[in-house]
Amino acid sequence: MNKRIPSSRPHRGLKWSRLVPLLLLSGAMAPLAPQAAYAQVASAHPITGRITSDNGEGIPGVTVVVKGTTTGATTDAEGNYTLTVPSDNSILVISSIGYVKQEIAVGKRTNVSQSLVPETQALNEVQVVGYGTQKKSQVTGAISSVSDEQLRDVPVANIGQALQGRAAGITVASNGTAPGQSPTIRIRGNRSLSGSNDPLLVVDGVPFDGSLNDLNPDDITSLEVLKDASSTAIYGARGANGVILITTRRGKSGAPRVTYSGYYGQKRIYGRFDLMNGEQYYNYKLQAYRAQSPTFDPSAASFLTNDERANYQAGKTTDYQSLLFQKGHIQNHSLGLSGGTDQTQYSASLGYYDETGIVPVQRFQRFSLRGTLDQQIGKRVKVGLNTLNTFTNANDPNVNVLYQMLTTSPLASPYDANGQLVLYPNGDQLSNPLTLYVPNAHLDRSRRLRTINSLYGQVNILKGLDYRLNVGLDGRTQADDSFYASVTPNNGGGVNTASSASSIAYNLLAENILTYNRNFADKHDLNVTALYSRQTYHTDGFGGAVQNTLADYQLNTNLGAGTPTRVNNTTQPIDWGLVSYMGRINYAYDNRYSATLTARIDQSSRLAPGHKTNLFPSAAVAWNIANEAFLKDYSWVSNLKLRASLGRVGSTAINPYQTQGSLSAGLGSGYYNYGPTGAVGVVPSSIPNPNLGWEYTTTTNFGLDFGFLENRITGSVEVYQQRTNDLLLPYALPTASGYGSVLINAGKTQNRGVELSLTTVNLRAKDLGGFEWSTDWNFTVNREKVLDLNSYNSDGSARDDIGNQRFIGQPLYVIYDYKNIGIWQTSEADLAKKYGSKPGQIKVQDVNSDGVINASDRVIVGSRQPKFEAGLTNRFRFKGFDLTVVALTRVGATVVDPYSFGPSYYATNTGRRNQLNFNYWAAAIPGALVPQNPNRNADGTPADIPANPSNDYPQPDQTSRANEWPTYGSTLGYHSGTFIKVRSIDLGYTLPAAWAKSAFMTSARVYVQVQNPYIWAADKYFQRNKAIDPDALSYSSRFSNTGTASANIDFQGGSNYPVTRAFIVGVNLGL
Amino acid sequence: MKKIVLATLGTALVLSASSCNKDILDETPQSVLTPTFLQTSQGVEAGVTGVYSGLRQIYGNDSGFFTTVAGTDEWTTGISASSGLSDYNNNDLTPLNDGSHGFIWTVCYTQINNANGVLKYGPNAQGMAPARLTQLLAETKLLRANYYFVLVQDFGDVPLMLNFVDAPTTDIVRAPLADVYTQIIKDLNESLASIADKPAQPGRVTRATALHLLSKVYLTRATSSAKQGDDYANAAKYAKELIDNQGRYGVGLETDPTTVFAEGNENGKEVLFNAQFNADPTFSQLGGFTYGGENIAAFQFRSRYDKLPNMARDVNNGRPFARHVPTYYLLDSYILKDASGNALESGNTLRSTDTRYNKWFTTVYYVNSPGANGGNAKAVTGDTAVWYPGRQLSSAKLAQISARSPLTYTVIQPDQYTTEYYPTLNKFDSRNRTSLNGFSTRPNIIYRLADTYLMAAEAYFYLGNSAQAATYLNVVRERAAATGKKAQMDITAAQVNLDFILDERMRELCGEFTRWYDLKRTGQLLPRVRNTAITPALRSVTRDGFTKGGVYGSNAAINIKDFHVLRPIPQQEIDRSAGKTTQNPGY
Repeated sequence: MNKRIPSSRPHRGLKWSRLVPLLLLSGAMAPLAPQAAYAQVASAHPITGRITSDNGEGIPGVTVVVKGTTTGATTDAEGNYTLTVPSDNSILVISSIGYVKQEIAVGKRTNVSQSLVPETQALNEVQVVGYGTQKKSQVTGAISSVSDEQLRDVPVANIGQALQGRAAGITVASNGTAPGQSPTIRIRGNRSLSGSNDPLLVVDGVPFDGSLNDLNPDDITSLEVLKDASSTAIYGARGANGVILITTRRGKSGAPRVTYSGYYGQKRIYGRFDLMNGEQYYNYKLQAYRAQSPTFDPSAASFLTNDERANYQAGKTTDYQSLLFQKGHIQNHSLGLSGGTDQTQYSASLGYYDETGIVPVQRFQRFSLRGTLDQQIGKRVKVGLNTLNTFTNANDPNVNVLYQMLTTSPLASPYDANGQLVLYPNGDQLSNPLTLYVPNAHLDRSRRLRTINSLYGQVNILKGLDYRLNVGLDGRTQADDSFYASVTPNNGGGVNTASSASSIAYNLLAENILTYNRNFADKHDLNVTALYSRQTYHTDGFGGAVQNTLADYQLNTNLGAGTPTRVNNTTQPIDWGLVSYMGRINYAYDNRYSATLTARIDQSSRLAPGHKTNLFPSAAVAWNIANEAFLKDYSWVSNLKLRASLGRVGSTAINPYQTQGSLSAGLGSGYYNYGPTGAVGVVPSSIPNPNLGWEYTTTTNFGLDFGFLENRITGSVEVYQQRTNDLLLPYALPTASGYGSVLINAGKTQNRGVELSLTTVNLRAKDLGGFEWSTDWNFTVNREKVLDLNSYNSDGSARDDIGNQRFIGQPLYVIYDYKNIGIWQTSEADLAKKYGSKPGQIKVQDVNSDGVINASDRVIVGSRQPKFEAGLTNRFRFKGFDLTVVALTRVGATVVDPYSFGPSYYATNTGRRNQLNFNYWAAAIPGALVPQNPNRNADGTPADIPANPSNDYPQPDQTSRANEWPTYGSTLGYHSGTFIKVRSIDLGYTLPAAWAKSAFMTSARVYVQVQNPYIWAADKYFQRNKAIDPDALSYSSRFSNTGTASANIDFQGGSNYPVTRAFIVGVNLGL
Repeated sequence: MKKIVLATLGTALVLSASSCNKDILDETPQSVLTPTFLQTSQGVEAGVTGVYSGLRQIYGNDSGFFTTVAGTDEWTTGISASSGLSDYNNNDLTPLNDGSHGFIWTVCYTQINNANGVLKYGPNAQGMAPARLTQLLAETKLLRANYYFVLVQDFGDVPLMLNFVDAPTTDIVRAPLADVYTQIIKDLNESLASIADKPAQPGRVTRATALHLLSKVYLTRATSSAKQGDDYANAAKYAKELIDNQGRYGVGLETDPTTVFAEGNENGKEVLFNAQFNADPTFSQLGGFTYGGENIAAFQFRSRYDKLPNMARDVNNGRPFARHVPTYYLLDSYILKDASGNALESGNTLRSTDTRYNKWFTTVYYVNSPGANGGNAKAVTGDTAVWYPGRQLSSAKLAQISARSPLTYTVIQPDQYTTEYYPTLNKFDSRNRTSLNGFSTRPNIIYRLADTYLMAAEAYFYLGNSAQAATYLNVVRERAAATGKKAQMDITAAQVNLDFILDERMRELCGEFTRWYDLKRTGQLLPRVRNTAITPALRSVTRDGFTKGGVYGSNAAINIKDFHVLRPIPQQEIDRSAGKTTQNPGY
C-alpha cells in the first residue's frame, strides 16, 4: 500500500542558520528503508521478534498477522511476540494504531523484528468537509484551514478577525473599531451585484445566520474555508459565496481537564484626524468669503458669532477629539472543562468578553455558555448534544458622533457662561457632540440572546454504514432600545424621542444523513453520503416609538407617557423553507487517485412556483503523486497532490416574497391625512417578478498541494475561474415607469484568481527548546469582471450599464466619475472660464475634448478591487518563549473616503463647518485680516497669508453653495487603498512543566501583545490622518453604486471610528 | 435500550421525510402587500390616499420651492439656496446635478403609476358602494392630471404612462406635449363628470378643484406649442363657472388677506386644493429629515433673525433657512402707483393702501433673548428688537432710534438687505410646531379662489375683454385694500396689460408654488430674469452700525440661457432608457 514511507525522523545535521534555499539544496535525504536482520530457515516454522518504535522502544499491543489467515499474535509489554508461520512464503502484516502498516516477507527467518514508523499527519490527518470528514490525502476540493494554534495567535473579538490575513483567497476587511463591529468577509472576491456576497457559515453542521459576534472565539477549535465547487456544492443553493465551517470544541476521553484563558488590554486611537484648529478654521472660512467677495472684511458681524470672535482673539480652540476620544478596555475570560471515558465525552465552558470603545458609553459585552456531550450506547448507537448560548449587550451600536466631532466649529465655546452645554455652539445646525454624554441624555442599546443547539443520533447499521439524524434549533431574540433627550444632536432641541423594539427569529433544521464508509481490498476507499434535510426559518418583531415623554430619566422605560410616532412591526413576519436532497460519492484508489461526485437538489420557498427546484452538481479528481512509485526515491518530496474540480453552486440572494411585487406604506410613501384624520395609503414599490430564479456560479479549480523536505515547506497553489450566471441584477428602470429598479436574472460575472499558501519551517529546532522559526505566507490575486449585463448594442456586443455604474470587462465595483486633474491655477484663468470654472476650482478632464464638461466626460477612475492581497505570519520559539507577528497587505484598490468625499457632507467648501485640514488652493490674505496668524512680520504685526497654488483641494468659496460641497467635489474622495498592516505582535512564555506542576497546573503560558502596532498607507492623505484606516474602507458598505446623486455613488451615511492600537496581557492555563 | 433508540430514530426519519414539503415551500406573504390589494375596497381607499400622499413631496419639500419660486422675479438667492436653481448656476442646473427636478420627476411618475394601479384594479373592487368607488376614481383622475400638469410645465414632452406597470420596461419615450395636454384635459373632464362638489374630508379634491385646474391647463396650453384656438375661451369658461357658482361649491374669498393664511384656516373657503399635513406624529413627519413627507415650507423664507442682537431662535419665529430673499421688485410692487407707474405713496405711507405687504411680510421682531448676539442684557423681552422699515430712513430718524429710551433696536433698511437679512414672507409660518426645528404642521395651500379670479382676468385679457379682466382684478385688489381705500385700489380696463396681470399675481400669490410657471406661461421668464432692474445682480452690501458686509442678489441674469424655459430631464432617465428618453435642448 504505502509505496513510500514518510519519515518523521528529524534531520539533525542541519544548522539552524541555514535558509530556505540551502534547505532545498540539502534536501537529498537518506532513504529510510526498514532494517531487518534474518537467518535462513526452511518451511513452516516458529518465529519470534520485537516490534519497536524508531527510537528503539518496544511497542505493546501490536497486531502481527500472517497475511490471508487468522493466524496472528499480539506483542507484549516489551514489544515481543512469538508466532508460527505456515511457510517460507508467508507474509506478516504488522499493524498498530498510529503507525504505518507494514508487510514483511518472512522467508526462512526465525527472528523478524521490525521498527514501525509513526503515521505522519499527512497520511491519516482528517480534514473537516461539509457533512463529515475526509482523509486529507483524499480531499479533492480547495479548502483553507485555520488551526487551533493559529486561532490562538491573536486574541480576537470574533472569528472574522481571526481569519484576517491568515488564509489565501479570503479577504477580511475590518469595518471600523466600534466594539462589537463585525468585519466583512469575502471568499474569492465579489460575484453578486445585488445579492449578498457573504459566505455561508456552518457551526457544527448547522447553517448559521446572524452576527459573528454571537460566537465566542474561545469555543472554536478550527475553521475550514471551502472555496471551490467540489467542496461547496453540497451546500447547493447557498454555496456560491464559499462556506466557512466552524467546529467547536468537544470533549475527549481522558482525565478531566480544566482550562482558563484570559486577557486584559487597553486600546487607544492609532492616530488622530488632522482637523483644522480655530485659527485654521478662521482662515479657511475667510478664504471662502473672500472668494465670493474679494474685499470681504472679517469684522462683519455675520462672519463669526461674538463668541467665536472672542475665542479667536483669545487664541482658544475647542478640540472635540481631545474631549471625546478616550482609552478603551478589552477583557476576556474563558473557563473550560472537558474530559470523558471511552463511552462518554463531555465539555463545558463559560466565557465573558467585554470591550469598551474609544468614545464614551460604547461597549460590547458577551456572556457565553456552552456544553457538549457525546454518549456511546452499546456498540452501534451514539448520541450527542451541543448547546451554545450567548447573551450580548451592545451600548451605542448606532450612535456615531464623528460627524459632530469633525464639523462643529472649533472657535465656538461648547459651554455657555453658566457652564451649561450649548447644543448649537455657533448658532448653526452643527451640534455639540458633548450634549450626548450628560446623564439621561441618551440610550442606545441592543441586547441579544442567541442559542444554537444541535442534537444528533447515530446508528451503525452495517459495517461501514451509518445513519445519522441531526436536529438543529437555532434561535435568537433581540431587544433594541433608544432614547434621545431634547438637547442632543439627534433631536436638535425638539421634543425627546424614545423607542423600543424586539424581534425573534428561529431556524429549525432536520437532517437525515446516511454514510457508507468502507475500504475494500486495501486499495479501494469508498465513502458515500446521502442527505435529506428540511429547514424552516421564521422571524418577526414588534416595536414602537414615541416622542415628548414626561421624564428624561425614565429613558425608554415608560413609552406610554409619550405621544406615539410609530407603532409597527419592526421586523415583518418572514418565513422561508428549504428542502434539500444531496448525494456524494468519494472514491480513492490506493491513496493515489481520488474522485468526488456531488449532487444537491434544493427546493426553496423563495422562488415562484415552477422555479423552486434546482440541481447543483459537481465533480472533482485528485492525484496524489507523492504516493506514486516513481517518486519513491525522491524522499525530499513529502507530499504532492494535484486536484481539479468543476461544479455549480447557487446563491439564495432572493429575499422571501420578492417574486410577488409589493406596495409600501409609511411616512413619506403613502401616509397622509385628511384634516385631523390620519390615513394609511399605499404606493407601489416593487414590480412582481414570477420568473426570478437563482444565481448560479460555475467554478473550475485546479490545485496543487505540496510538501517538501519532511514537510518543512508545505503549501498549495490554487488557480480558479468562477462564472456567475443569471445574476440577480437590480436593474435600474427609468423612474417614469413608477419604479426605480427591478430585480432580474441577467448578466454574467467572472472571477479568476491565483492563490498561494505556503508554510515554511525556516529553522527547525535541533532539540527541545531550540530555536525554531516558521512562516505562513498567503497571497491572493483575484480579478472580477463583468461579462454581460443583458443589454446589447445594435451590433450584438455587450453594453455597459451606465445608469447602474456597471461596465463590461470591469470589476463589479468601479468608480465612474469625472477625472480630477488638479485645481485651476491663476495662469489658467482663461481656459478655466471656457469650462465655466475659475482659478481655485476643481479641474476635471475634458475627456472627449469637446470643450464642455458634461456627463460624457465621466470615466472609470478606480475600482475597489485590489491588485493583490497577502498575509504573513512569523512564529519564533526558543526555550519557553514564543513570538508571533501577523501582518497583511492589500495593494491597488481605490477606496472612497467619506471625510473628503463631497456628497458625504464631512467636507464642505463654504466654510460653514469645520473639516479636515486639507491643503487647499488659496488666494493671499492681508495680515491685518488674520490677527492671530502665528507668522509675524519683523515689526510684530501678523504676516500676510500667502497664496497657495495647491492642486489638492479647491478654494473654499461661499459663492458656489450648491449642496455646500464644491462642484466635482466627489472626485476629492477617491484615494489609494494600498496599505500594510502589522496586525499583532505577540510575545509569550510557557512556564516549564515542572514549575507549572508545582502550581498545580498542567500548562501555563503568559503573553503580552500589541495589536495594530504599525500601519502604513500609500496615500499621503491617510498618513496625515492616521485615524482613517484604508483597510476599513476597502469593502465599506457605506457606499453603493446605485446612487443617483451627482457623484453616482450613494453615500449611506456614517463613518468608521478611528483605527485603534491595543496593548494586551494574557494567560492560558491548564489545570 | 438499543431498540428504543433505533425505533425513535427510525420514526424521526419517516416523519421528517413524509411530512408535506408543499407547506414549507409555499409562500404566503401576509405581512407584505402585493398589488392585488388594490382590488379590494380597502385597497382602493389606500391606493387613492397613496396618490394624495405624493402631494406632500411635490408641495412641501425644498424641491417644491426650488422649482417654482427660485430663479424668478420675486425671489433671489438666500444664504442657503442650495439647489443652484435660484441663479441658474451652470454647474448645478445640469441633468446630473439638478436633484430638485429629478425628485419632482420621480414623485410624479411614482404617483402616476399608483393612480394607474387604482384605475386598473379599482373598478373590480368588491364590496364597495358604487358611488364611493366612482368618487374615488374621479379623485384619482384629477390627481393624475395634476401630476402630469407639473411634468409638462417643467419638462415639455414627457413619457405618457397610462397603464399600471406590472412588468419591467426601459422602453420609455417622451410623448409630444400635445398628447400630454390632451390626456390631462381628458382626465379632468372625466373627473368633472362625476366628482363631488364639496370635499367629504379636508384635503379631498372636488369639482371646484377640477374647474380651477382645467382653467389653468387651458391657459397654459394656450401659449405652448400645442395651443388650440379655443384655449383662452375654455380657460375663461371654467374659471367663470367656478366664480359664478361659489355657493354650489362652498367656496368664496376671505374678506381679509390675513385670514387666507391664518394658521388653522388652511382648509378654509378660499382653498381649492392643498397638500395635507397635521400635528399627528404618526401620520406627519414632524422631525428628522427624510426628504419624504415633511413640510419645510415654514423655513424657506425666514431670514436669520436669530443672529441679530437680543434675538434667539424660537418656535414662534421659526427656523431660519433663509433660502429665498425677496427682490426689491416684489417688495416695491406693493407701493400704490398710478396708471403711468408713478408712486402714489412715500415716506411712512409707503405700502399703506395695499395691505398685503404688511400682512404677509414680517418686518418687526421682538426681543426674546436679552443680550444675545451682542445685544444688551438689559433689553426687555417683548420690546422691539429689529425693524425692517421697508424704506431708507432719514438720519434724524436713525439718530432718534439710536437714542431711544431705554434701549435702541436694530434697523435694517432696504439697501442693507443681504442673503440673511430681509423682510420675511410669513404665509407659511407654523407656530404650532412642537419643537424649535420641527416641521410645519400646516397644510400647504396650492390653489385658491383668488388665483381663479386672476386666471379669469388673464384669459379675458387675451380674449380682448380688458373690461372683464379689470373687473376680476379689482375683486382681488379691493380685498387687499386698507379700510376705506378700495377705490384707490381699483384699476381701469385701460390699465390692464400682461405686466400688470403678472405683477398682480405676484402681489397676491408670491411664494405659492406658481411663479416660475406664471413667467414661463406668459413668456416673461427670460425677459424678467435677464432684467437686473427686476432680478438684482450680485453685489456686496456694506452696512454701518453693527454689521459690515454681506451680499445680495444673484447671477441669475447673466447665467440664464434661452433653453432654461425647460428643465433638464434627469440624467438617470436617459441612462436607464439607453437614450430612448431624450434630453431637452441645451443641457
